[in-house]
Amino acid sequence: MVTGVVAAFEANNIPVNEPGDVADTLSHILVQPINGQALYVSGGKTYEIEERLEEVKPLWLGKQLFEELTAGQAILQMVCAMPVYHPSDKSLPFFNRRVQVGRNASDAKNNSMCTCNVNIISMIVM
Amino acid sequence: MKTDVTNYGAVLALFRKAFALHSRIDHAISNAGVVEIGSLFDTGVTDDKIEEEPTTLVLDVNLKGTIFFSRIAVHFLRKSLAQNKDAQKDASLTLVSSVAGFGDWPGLFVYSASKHGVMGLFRSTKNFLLPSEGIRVNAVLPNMTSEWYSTEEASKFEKLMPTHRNSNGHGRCGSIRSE
Repeated sequence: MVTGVVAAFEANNIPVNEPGDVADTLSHILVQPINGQALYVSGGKTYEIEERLEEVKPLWLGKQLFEELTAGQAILQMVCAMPVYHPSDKSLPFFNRRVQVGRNASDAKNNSMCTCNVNIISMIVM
Repeated sequence: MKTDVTNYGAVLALFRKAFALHSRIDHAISNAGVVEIGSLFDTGVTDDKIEEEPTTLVLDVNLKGTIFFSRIAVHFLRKSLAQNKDAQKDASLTLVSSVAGFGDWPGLFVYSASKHGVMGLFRSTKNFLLPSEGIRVNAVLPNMTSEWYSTEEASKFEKLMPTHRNSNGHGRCGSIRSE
């Protein structure tokens, strides 16, 4: 079904993934001790996009709404006796992090940061 | 193993078989999915088409199937961790969403709703299942990806769902396989 769409992407020089790019990302998740990551695969490359989204939530909602939201979430977790997980690494990247996955991962250790953020990527694909 | 993810008993049978074969499950990937079927709002100006209830297959496979899969996967991952506590140090659940799980894709109405739904399940579990169960949860969101199967494989899948074709006459579905 997506064959025609893929052809249109390629005709407009918008890169598409190969199935192996998605498979490499799945394999990466299985072997790395990562949790809570949303890995976006675009143009054959993989990016972590959840951390940045969490970081910009106060900007998106505004300080007051953000604080109301997080206070409500904390109360709900207490009421429901839910365990809370605190990621140890609190330093969040400004850009969405490029994640090296799959067969070529060891070749590109220096290229650990995405040079464009997710908004630009979205504009390209729309 | 052929599995209809919209059928709770079938997903349960898949995990029961995998656990019976290997006495251990380390990772579960919820990957089955179908693309948009038909055009949700294409009902014209007369009332003929609006009488017909639209299919919920896309929602059923992509979201209900993911929820069924996740519930059963967590159960068997928990059981596996308990029964193999000396050998098994890791367990994970991976949910496959889509670029339509966060982007705006006019035309992919039900598909987008289903994939946003998968992200809802991911977000409500990502800080819960690790501390409570020792199960890591992650999501994968592929942008446009070329077809992964051959024409021969595609025809096998389409035979499984002969009545569920989109407006172009094509269908696509994923599968869950166990070794």
